[in-house]
Order: sequence, then structure tokens, then C-alpha cells
Amino acid sequence: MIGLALKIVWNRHDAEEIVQEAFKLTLTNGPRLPHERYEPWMFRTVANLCLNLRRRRRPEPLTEWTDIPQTASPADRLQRIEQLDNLRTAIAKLPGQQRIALVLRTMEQMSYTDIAEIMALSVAAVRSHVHFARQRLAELLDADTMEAQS
Amino acid sequence: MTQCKDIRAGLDDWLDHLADARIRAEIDAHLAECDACTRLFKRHQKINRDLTALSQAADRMADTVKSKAATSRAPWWRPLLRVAAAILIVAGAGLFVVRPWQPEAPVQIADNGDALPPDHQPPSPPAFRITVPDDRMAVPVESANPRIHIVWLYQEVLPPDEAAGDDADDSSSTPSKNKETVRCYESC
Repeated sequence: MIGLALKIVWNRHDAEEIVQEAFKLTLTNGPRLPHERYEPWMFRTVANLCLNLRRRRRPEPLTEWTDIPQTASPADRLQRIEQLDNLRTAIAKLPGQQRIALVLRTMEQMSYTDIAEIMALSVAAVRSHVHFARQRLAELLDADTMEAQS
Repeated sequence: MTQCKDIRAGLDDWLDHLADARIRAEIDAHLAECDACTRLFKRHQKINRDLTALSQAADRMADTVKSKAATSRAPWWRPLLRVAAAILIVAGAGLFVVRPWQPEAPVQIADNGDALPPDHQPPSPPAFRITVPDDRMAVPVESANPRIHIVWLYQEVLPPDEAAGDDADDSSSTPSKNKETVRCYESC
């Protein structure tokens, strides 16, 4: 849960608060339907809390968390961190549903069926969200590159 | 151009490694001859790799949160406390087995105020005998001092009417007679 929250808000304090809030909500508004499973409900709650977070702290820098080969030069390291930071910013610009679908599929490595259960959508809808998220992400990153070049 | 569109429709499955062997072969064959599609697929492949790298960075961050939570839950001295408690329990049990616990004997004081030796046995109270007349009833009364014996002697006084009927020896009248007798004792 904390991993999913971090992949959306990128701040450990925010992620911890969100997960705590999700567990609190489990006690009051936990899964009520007989067929509803606990885990998808928790993922959905964490994802929604991440999207609705009001007092958002600044994303933590990726410097100490990025795995870069020791042989890389300082300039290469800086460039790599900048690339990942741009990607992170681009993901944050995606619409909520697309962002959650993309994170669950490409970063949490979940199946489309599991994502559909978490997001309470059809598999086709989830595939569509992931497809458009990828397209939009590529456009945003290309725009960043063009901007940097100009 | 139509072929490019068909191939690009399979981009997501190709990125997710969900495309079957036939589709992959078709895509590879097309990419070998179409630069635009190759650029697009490579571009998305690069984004996918970066997403994985980003995911790993987030997982490293999550590990620190989890380890911090685990550390705050169990202080460093908790294992030492467990070991100390185990040692105390084993030592206590061992002592009990070797030398069972015995309560300390109370110090006995003689009549003149001197302390008596621990093995001193107090003299047993002398046996006594009292003669209870036939018209009396002896009732021993508990006393706090074992050397003092109290015996109350009650005189059995029966009401005159019951005393007269006593000779009849009616078994049905026995309870009421006894009851009266008891009442008499209480009143005495």
C-alpha cells in the first residue's frame, strides 16, 4: 500500500498519512458487499486518497533513490535523474483515472483484471485508460524535450 | 499506412508482453521495414523502462518507511529484555527446585519476655474434665487463647405444660419441645 501511495504522491510523509487514513477508513467503511474483497478495496481507497490529497507536500528528490551505475559520470547521473523527474511530472499531469491505471499496470505490474477490480471498471475500460495514458505521456515528454531543445 | 495502424493497435500488448508469438512476429517484421513505427515503439519501450526505474526508486523509498515503522514498533532493547526475563525465569525455577521455599518461623516470646528457640514446642494444654449434671447442658465456646477453655452450662428449663406432657413421650411433640428448649437457652 505504501508503495502504491509513494508512486503517486512521491512523498513519504504523505504516503504514510494516506495509508493510515486508508486503514482508519477500513474500520468504518470497509468492504461491505459479500463478494467484495479486502485487498482491492484497500488499493482503491489508497489510490482515491492519493488523488484527493489536499495539503500535498513537495515530491521528494529522486537523487538518493535512483539506481544509477557507479561508473556513470556526474553529468550522466544528473541527466538520468532529470529524465526520471520529467517522467514523474508528466505522470502527475495525467487525468486521475489514467494515472491510477498506468501506475497499477506499469509500476505495480498488476494484471488488467486485477486493475479492473480495483478501479471498479471493465477490463476494456482499464485497457483504454492505460492506452491513452501512454499516448499522453509520450506527448508530454516530447513537448518537454522540444521545450528543452528550444 | 493501414498496416502501420494495425501494428500500432498492438503496441500495448507488445509493451505488456501479452502479444502472442504470431503477433510479435508480425510486429517485428513490420518494424524491420518501417522507421516511423520503430521510432514509436522504441520511444514507448524507453518510457516503459523509465517507469520501471521510477517504480524501483519508489520501492526503495517504501522500504525505508517500512523499516522505520518496524524500528519504531520494536525498540532496540526489546530483545535484551526478553533474554533477561528468560534468565530470571530459569534462575527462579532452578532455585525453587534446589531449595524449596520455606516460610520463616515466627519468633516465639516466653512469658518473661525472652525469645524462645525456634524449635521450642509450647506445652500442650492440660486435658481437663468437667462433670455435667443431668439437668445441665454443656456448650463449649471458642476462645482466642488455646489455653483457656470456656464451657457454658445451661440449665434446661421447660415450660410447665410441656414438662407435664413429657411423660407421654409422644414422638410428634418432640420437635416443639426441642424448639421450646432452644428458645429457653436463648433467653437464658
